[in-house]
Amino acid sequence: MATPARSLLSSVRGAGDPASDTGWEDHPPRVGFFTDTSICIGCKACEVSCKEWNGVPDDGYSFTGMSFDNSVGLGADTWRHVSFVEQRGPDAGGVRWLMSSDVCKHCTDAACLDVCPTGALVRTELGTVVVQPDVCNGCGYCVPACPFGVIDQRRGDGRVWKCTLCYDRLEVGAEPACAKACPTDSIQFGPLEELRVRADRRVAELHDAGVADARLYGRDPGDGVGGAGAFFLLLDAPEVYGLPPDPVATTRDLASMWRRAALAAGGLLAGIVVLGMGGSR
Amino acid sequence: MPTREQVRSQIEAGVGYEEAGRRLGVPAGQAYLIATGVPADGSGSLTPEQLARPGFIRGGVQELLGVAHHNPSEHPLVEGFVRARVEADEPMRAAARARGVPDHAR
Amino acid sequence: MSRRQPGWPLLRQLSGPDRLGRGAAVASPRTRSLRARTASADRVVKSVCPYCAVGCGQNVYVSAGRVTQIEGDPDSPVSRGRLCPKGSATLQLTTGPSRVRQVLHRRPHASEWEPISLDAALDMVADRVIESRRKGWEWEAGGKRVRRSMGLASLGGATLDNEENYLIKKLFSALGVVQVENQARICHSSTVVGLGTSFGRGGATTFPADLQNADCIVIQGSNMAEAHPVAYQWVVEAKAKGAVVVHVDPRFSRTSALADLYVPLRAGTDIAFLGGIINYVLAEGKWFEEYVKAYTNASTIIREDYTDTEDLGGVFSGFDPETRRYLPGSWQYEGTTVNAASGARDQFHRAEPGGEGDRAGGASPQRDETLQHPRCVFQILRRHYARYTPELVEQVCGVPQASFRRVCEAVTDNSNRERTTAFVYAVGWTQHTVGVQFIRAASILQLLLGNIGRPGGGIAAMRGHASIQGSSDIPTLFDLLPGYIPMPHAHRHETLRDFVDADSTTRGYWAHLDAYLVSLLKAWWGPVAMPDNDFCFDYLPRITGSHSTYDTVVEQLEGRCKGYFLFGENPAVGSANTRLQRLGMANLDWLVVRDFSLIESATWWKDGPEIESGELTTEEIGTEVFFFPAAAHTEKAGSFTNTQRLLQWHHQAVEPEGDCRSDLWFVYHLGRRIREKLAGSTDEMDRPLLDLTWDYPTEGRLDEPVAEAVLAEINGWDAAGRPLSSYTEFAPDGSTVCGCWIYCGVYAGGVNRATRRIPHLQQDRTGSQWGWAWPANRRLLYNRASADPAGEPWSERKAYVWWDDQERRWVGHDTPDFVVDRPPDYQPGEGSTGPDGLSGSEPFVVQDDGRGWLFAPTGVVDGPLPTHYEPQESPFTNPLHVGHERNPARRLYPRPGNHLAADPASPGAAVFPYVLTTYRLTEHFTSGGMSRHSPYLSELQPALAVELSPELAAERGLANGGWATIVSPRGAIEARVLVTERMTPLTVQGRRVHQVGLPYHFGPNGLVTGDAVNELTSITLDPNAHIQEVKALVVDVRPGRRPRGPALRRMVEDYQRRAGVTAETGTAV
Repeated sequence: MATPARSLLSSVRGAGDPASDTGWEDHPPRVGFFTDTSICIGCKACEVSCKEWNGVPDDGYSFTGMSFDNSVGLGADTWRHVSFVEQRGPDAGGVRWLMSSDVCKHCTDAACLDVCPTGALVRTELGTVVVQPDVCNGCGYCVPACPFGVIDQRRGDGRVWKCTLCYDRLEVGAEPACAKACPTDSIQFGPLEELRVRADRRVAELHDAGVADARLYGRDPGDGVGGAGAFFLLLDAPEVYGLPPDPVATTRDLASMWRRAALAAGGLLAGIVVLGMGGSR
Repeated sequence: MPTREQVRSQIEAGVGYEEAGRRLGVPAGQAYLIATGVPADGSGSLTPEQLARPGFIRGGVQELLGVAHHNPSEHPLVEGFVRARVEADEPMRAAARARGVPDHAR
Repeated sequence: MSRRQPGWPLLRQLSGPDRLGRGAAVASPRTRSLRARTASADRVVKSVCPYCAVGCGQNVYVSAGRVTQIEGDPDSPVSRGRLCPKGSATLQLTTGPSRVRQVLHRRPHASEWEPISLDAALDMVADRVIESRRKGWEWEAGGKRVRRSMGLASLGGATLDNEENYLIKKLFSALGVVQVENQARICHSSTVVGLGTSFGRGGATTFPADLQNADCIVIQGSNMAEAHPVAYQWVVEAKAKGAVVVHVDPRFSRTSALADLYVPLRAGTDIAFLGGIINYVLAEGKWFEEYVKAYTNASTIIREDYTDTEDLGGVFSGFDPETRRYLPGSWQYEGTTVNAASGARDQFHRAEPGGEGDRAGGASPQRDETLQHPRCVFQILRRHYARYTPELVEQVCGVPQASFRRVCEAVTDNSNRERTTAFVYAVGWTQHTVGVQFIRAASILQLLLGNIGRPGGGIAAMRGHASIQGSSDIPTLFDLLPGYIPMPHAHRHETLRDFVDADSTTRGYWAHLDAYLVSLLKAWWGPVAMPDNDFCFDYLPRITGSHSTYDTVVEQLEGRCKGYFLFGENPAVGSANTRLQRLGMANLDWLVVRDFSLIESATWWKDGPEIESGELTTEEIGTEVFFFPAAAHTEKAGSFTNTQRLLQWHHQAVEPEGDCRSDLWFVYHLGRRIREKLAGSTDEMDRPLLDLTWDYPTEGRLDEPVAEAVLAEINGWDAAGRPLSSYTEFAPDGSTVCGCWIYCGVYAGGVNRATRRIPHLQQDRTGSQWGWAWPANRRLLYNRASADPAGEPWSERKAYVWWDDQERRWVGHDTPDFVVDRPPDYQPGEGSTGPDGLSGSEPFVVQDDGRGWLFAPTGVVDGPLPTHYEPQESPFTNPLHVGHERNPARRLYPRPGNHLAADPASPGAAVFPYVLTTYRLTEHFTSGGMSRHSPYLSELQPALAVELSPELAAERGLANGGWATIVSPRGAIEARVLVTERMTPLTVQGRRVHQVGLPYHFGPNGLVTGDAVNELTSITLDPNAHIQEVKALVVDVRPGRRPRGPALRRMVEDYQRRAGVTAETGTAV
């Protein structure tokens, strides 16, 4: 079916159960990641274990001078990316070093999924968003659609690649590679509902301990992407970590845009008809 | 994939995860993950709620992934090797006899 | 449940519930049938990570004869299934493209490698060994019988299996080779002496998972989150329970980022810092009185002729400025002589100068239980640390008094009956000219606070390689035999009896040294070892001083050592003064390198720094080089011993490919060939080799020796061929065999207990049913001290092991580190020896007096108490000891290429104004041989970068991301610049000082390359451990890349000239 019609009907948003909304009638609870960056030690086991499991190629050897971050950002060849932010702070020693492992958010309202014309991007029974490399034709529509700049085309290959939340591992009940490897359990995997409860508890704990800046990012189902399947506990504003402060699914307004376009078209048509009728004297 | 309730009702009926998986058409490990929310090979720190959850198994669930484990604790050639060493060492056996301890295998 | 769907996605979309075609309708058949490749593997083999010493469990998946995945074992109580980036890259390490699979040969003076058959190469090496051994043979040295060859040496073993280290030490000793060393020398040799003399055993007193029980954790001399990430999970657990985490370090690292309190301090000043805490504890009365009185030697009275550094201007009594050594007799206990359980034990024969005279019948030490006697240890300690005030700490360490006090409070608030504090350290403490004393200082502090032997307490010495604990226990080290028995020194007449008398203790478990040694000799020489030939004790080659790896480099430079084996070690990058390492190798007749890829130590003759600079040309280097590709841990079976003394077996998953062979195969078959070539020899020199038991079973098409058979010998057996269960079963009469007494029990019952894998969720918190720890599977050492003298836990909260009066035995959460049925009120009879000579409330059962040593009367060669000395190279004078600025007993190696920086007060000192400290990054591993050839690790840290403060960058005109040249009195290297506020300038003695940091992983070979930081460091050693000081030296930093060619050495020489550096500089006592 052509894209515009699909986008029109994407105004029909389900009750926040993305698997049901996409035709999975019987399905398990939605799963995702909760990344508690307050206990991240910046080791990058997540980056490596992901690449080892998924056969993701290395990204080249270039020294960036950006603290300990030589991976730079998420892309076709980096599906987990650890950021390092050095700050002056009130903390011990006057220095604070924020470390955080970024990943595809597996949004509830996933713009990449909405715009994909070939059905390469698919919502799975587990509520995750996965690229099917056997379907993707490399059109690249999804790349600008993602509000986080996650999904990208692989040079020399043309297709897009991103975190699959280790869909093949989940099929056998194995934990996603990054979550399994993470030495401090900063990356936690499980049913999304449980993770949200755990995260709420953790933020409250940190606030009680005087860490006022602790906050959750992507947890709220009312946010611009309908809540993220992979959400985070941050110790500062999202933009400090290189994350968009108020991400919105780029397809969010498509329904209303098309409605207005339809109204405008209808109005234009009506106007032409009226003029046409009036001009025949 | 089955729902959590579908898996749990199998487990509550006393059927193990291998059988539950077979009946539901999914791998045993996946049945475990769906029922408990914990992966069969998980490394996460477990909360008290998870530990107490029905269907949760304390350790050793990675076998549900269905791969045979290789971890033998003996080797067939060792006993013969040791016996040959002892048999060739008469002074050792003489010292044992002098001390009143066994000098040959029963 | 799936229902029948139409084949065409569009139809599915139109007819099914997925109208928009975003889910069920468009999932392709491939997606629907996707399954993890691990689930379809033929088998999963239980294994252990080959990188650091945490020992994370690994699952190795095999499909169709190939390894297809390596990931964590979730059942492990050590790691819970987690892996750091290196462990996560193990698949790439073992199956990736940079492994060599062909034996290579470099003829003398050739410019290229040639392939050669494995068989021919092995044969040639056997011939080389025989020849060099013969040429370097000496029956006597200095008029004393040595029976050894100095013609060849061996380095390496920390990444090898215990069984491999055992065969290397066994074979080489039988060949008469004493120069056998490994990474343990340059890494944690200080630990063996520091912890060993303080408590009895030279290894971590606790295990990382026990840190979750700590109320306060002090991480100092360690970057635990980066060097031991998976072990760091236990610190995170402790924090979650409310523990305070303190990180004291020159550099704000990833460990500091998660600490509650980070304290920057000047590199090399930890004794002043710890001494300050000791002084605080004593002055404020925060010591755990009951524990200190009962469990330490605080009350013991020291000899009258003991004089402290406080009274002799910086030296202890007994110092000979000629030899720069201490004769330690004056530090002994009053009225008796005790022996140490570790450290220097056999150097001074009883009858020789420095010897300790006749043992005074093992009389009990004299004590003042009121701790008032002026010569009791407690009062000596008090006086010794009286000047270590917070003001002094600020002056010396650059730590503001307020920060220092916060640390003191954190530690003392959390050390009492109800609360315990743990210390975590690593090479930030060991790699100093006073490395052993750093560790002793922490040991004293933890004893005063009553934290040793208690849950959440203790000292976690974090070691660095997969089996470096094992390569110390079963040592490929020159000064030790298996189980920390000292390697015998050459003495005028030394029988077995002499040796045992000199080196055993009267009380405690070392009293049975004779049984341990005889059992070892029986293991090595079998039926030939008999009572009337001292069980072939004479077959062991003798040492005559230090034969450390650094002494071997000197032997190579001076042309006496002609052959060299490298077993997975890379001294051209990883050892201090890499230029001298390579110049030494350039002087060899032959070199054998065993590794996965062509490391720098294999190719220096072709493309090393001396070739680049023109100092040497390839054609003029006559060293014959053999490269033997090594099997990975997935391709062989064997055991690793990790940092918590835990033996874990790794099974063979697949056979090695091509010419790759295990080191077990190599050493066994090399030994076989040498014996065959020398069979029938009538030369007395060859008897130890030909009489050696060398008959292990082999299997498979590669004739791989059965590692379990070697393990069985290490464990030991009785005359009936039954594996022994405990060293208490040994006898000194030759009726028992055991290759390593502290490992006895690992094969008890004929079952390989290193393979035990009971999941952690099915066990209690000590995880005792996973693997096997020495000694006797105890996880927390000295745990008798977790109960009071009456046998009651100090508190319910910290109950660990206690006396059960019903059962009349010690019970609890761990194997008691005590005679299990010895009641707390037991008193030894007059003249009792061995373990029976200790009372029911003396927890340090390997010590001669059963006590933790606050004061070390023997064993530590440079002082019974730590005192602050400056590092060899420092911008500062020592305010405590004018005239003895540095450790007077430190080992110096004055020679060209090893010049030292000018004294801090001299005008030349300003030429090297900055303090350099070296360290690790989590993404790389040691000298880079196992990380810089892996793409996934290389891309994470692709360049050598020097970390420095914005102030220093401004001062020197350095830009972030740009280049800098770092110059020391010995060399110059280049690095990228990383400007960071994490490096803070400190104020020391009223002056600002900058510290800069460099990770030492880089070298010219691999996917990512850089200069080796050890081009800058010197060979200046701790006298106990012979370990190099690479944690604190002085450098200059200037913008831009370094010169190439001859201009490089000219730059270094120019700096030396300006600094007034000569051969004598820095060598004053």
